[in-house]
Amino acid sequence: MNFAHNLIEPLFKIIKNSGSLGSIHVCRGNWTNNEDTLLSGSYDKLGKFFESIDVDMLTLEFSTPRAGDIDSLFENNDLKDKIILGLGVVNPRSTEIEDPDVIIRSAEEALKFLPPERVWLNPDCGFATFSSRSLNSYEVIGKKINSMKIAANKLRKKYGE
Amino acid sequence: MKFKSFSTSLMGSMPRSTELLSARDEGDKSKFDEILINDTKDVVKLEEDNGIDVIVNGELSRDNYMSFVADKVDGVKLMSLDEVSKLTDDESSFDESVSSMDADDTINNPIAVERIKTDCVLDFEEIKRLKTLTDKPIKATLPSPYLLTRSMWLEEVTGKVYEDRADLGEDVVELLSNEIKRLIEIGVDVIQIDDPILSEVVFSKPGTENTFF
Repeated sequence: MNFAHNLIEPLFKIIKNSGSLGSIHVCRGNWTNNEDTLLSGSYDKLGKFFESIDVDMLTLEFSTPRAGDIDSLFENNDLKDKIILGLGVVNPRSTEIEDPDVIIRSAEEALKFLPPERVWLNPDCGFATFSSRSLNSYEVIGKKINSMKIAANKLRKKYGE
Repeated sequence: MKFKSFSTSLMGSMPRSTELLSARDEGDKSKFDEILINDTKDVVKLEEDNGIDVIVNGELSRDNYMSFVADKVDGVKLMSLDEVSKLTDDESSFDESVSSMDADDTINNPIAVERIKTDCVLDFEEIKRLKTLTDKPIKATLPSPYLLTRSMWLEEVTGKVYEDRADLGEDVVELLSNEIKRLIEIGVDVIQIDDPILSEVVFSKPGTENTFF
């Protein structure tokens, strides 16, 4: 992990206090809709690493059980005091449209650790990481994004903008 | 903070149209650019219509989230998994990794074949264009230097022009630092560094050195 740290840290040093927000996106594979072959594991092992690179935002997948619980991200570190969490609430690989209420419940798990202004919503990953392997149609994508918007609006009504 | 609570954004990549992919395969640059601009406008509209707060351009011009650097950076060559496999000492374990992960030969890897030119511009021009297509905040994505360094290193080839991975890594950091400074300069709101490989380090079984990603 030292090698990773030495390469990634300098970039966030440039971004820090530049006016731009620096984010790191980590996921466990986005090349197939066969969930069994993608990697799994909770975030506790990465928490210390995220802390060491002094990043403003983490955009992480949380929409499938492979990601583990949100709690694991905040174990043994101080990330909850500073980090913006881009919470993965939409699975880019499935055709099922996420229920806004499920998205809201997931955000509320994050709110146990973070204030509303430091919780953002996003899909777990891109919808077509590889040009030759689109994971979804624009029709499904539009509906998935719309669910995210409905959830965000309800959350803002409940917890403020 | 200028962002609302529960701000929404996409992670970056969106499906490429068949028209865009065939223009690319035909090598018709002006046709490709024309379709690229129109398709990008559609992606931005889809995001705006659905209330997305921080807009991405869909990365439509990229072959994939990291291989596109081969198109942009002198010294980097795109190789198919098949080509990489042929150059790798332990071909059988690599092939096994590819098939067990349900990947195939359509996924390409950028390999450093010469010392890379660190002042090459990545897709900065497209991010600049994105700024003209929306009034909302925008996000730019870049592949992580760790991911890139590991992917670009092929001992049999890269080992001849760089001393070791750390030596290559320094140039990759320089390349990305230059691009980040350009993005900051035009006021990109969010700069996202993509690193799926980090999770491989943490989550996968030990002893999988030459895995396909």
